[in-house]
Amino acid sequence: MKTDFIGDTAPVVLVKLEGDEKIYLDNDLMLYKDPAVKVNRKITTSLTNRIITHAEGIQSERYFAVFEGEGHVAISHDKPGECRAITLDQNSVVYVRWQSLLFAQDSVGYQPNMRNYSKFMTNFILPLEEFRGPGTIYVQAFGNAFQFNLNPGEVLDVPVNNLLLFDATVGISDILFLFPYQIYAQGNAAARQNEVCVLKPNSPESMSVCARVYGPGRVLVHSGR
Amino acid sequence: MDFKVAGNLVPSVLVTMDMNEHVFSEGGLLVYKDVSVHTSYTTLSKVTGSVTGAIVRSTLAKIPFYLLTYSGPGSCAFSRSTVGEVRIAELKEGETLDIAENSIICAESSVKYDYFYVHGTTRVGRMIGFFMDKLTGPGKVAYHGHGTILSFNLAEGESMSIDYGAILSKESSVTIKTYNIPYGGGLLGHAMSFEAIEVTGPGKIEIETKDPKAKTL
Repeated sequence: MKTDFIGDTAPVVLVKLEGDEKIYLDNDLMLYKDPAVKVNRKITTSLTNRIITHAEGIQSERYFAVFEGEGHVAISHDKPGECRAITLDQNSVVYVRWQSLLFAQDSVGYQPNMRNYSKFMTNFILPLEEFRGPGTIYVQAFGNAFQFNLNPGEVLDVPVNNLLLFDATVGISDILFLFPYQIYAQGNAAARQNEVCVLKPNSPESMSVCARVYGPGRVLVHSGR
Repeated sequence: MDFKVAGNLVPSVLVTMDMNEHVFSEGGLLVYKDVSVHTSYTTLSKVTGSVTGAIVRSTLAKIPFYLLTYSGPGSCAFSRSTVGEVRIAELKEGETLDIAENSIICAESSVKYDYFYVHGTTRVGRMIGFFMDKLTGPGKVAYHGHGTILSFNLAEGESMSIDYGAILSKESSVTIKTYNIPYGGGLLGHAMSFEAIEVTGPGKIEIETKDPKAKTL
């Protein structure tokens, strides 16, 4: 498989598939493909899981589109932002912000990962996607991406909307509600609804919710939301 | 205190502070911060001394009622989360810079913060103007231009018409007013007129190429 990044503003990843190589992605990310490239589907999550996440206010696709066969596929997220290739060793795991994946090699395992950080009188879900190696995944940031390689014990506060990707070795020790959001987080029903939809674009309230992440491991933060 | 621009697509401002140094920012602009950086808050009404004005501004311009203060030591980064350019201005003692609403990223706590209202054209349906932030030195200010920033130096009495909403910043010596540009003459031309801004020198102005209220990134 060969890949090229084309364009800077709203970049496209042009993938050349060879032999029996397969990649999977959200079905609405394809820009164009050669006719020889076939499209199939792959179940991403069980129906039960989808109903649960939907009830929590998070839209989840049940299927990925799998592209296979000799030819080109162009993939774009239709938004400005840097693209990064993340190579995973056997059984190494990364967590990615919900719906930031461009595509992944078929050898990479996938499962949704809903982190529940609910506390007394609050209901906070951090929706992530888990990818397990071996293989390579391609993700796109909103805007510019900054990488931090945290040493053991090093800590960083990142608003949850700005958290793009982190290794499985990186922990989230706490969810911090910065003022003025912390007032609403103490029991306001509407605020609880916003907490669940925390990754909804253009939700300024969610920017006041920080994840305290600690090393060791790699953390990617992006400047958009 | 050090201000540095990071990134070029959706740029961020990386602020590095020593002990007892502070920056303030509107809520919702933080990208990340060190754990050693502490946050506190104040309200627009406390800063400007007008409760009514602060409420009107928050309601009309959708500008957060709270200002967050970040205290060192440590680093933190802020971004407007949209495509554009960032400028860092270092204001001297008493020097004033007027910046359009929803454009400030952060400023040193030594910078005095205030705002004023630019009236609309009072025409039915287009009566509402917009706010500009008034920042007075000494200290550093970082602000975000949506899209590309264009700069002009206006001579004494020199005027320029710019699109409504395209003004990013101006020196306090530059006057600003809104007016209607008619589509040709006659009643129809006036009925179909569109709003613009007239700025008159002397002084420097900056305009931005992307509508800040556009819903796209």
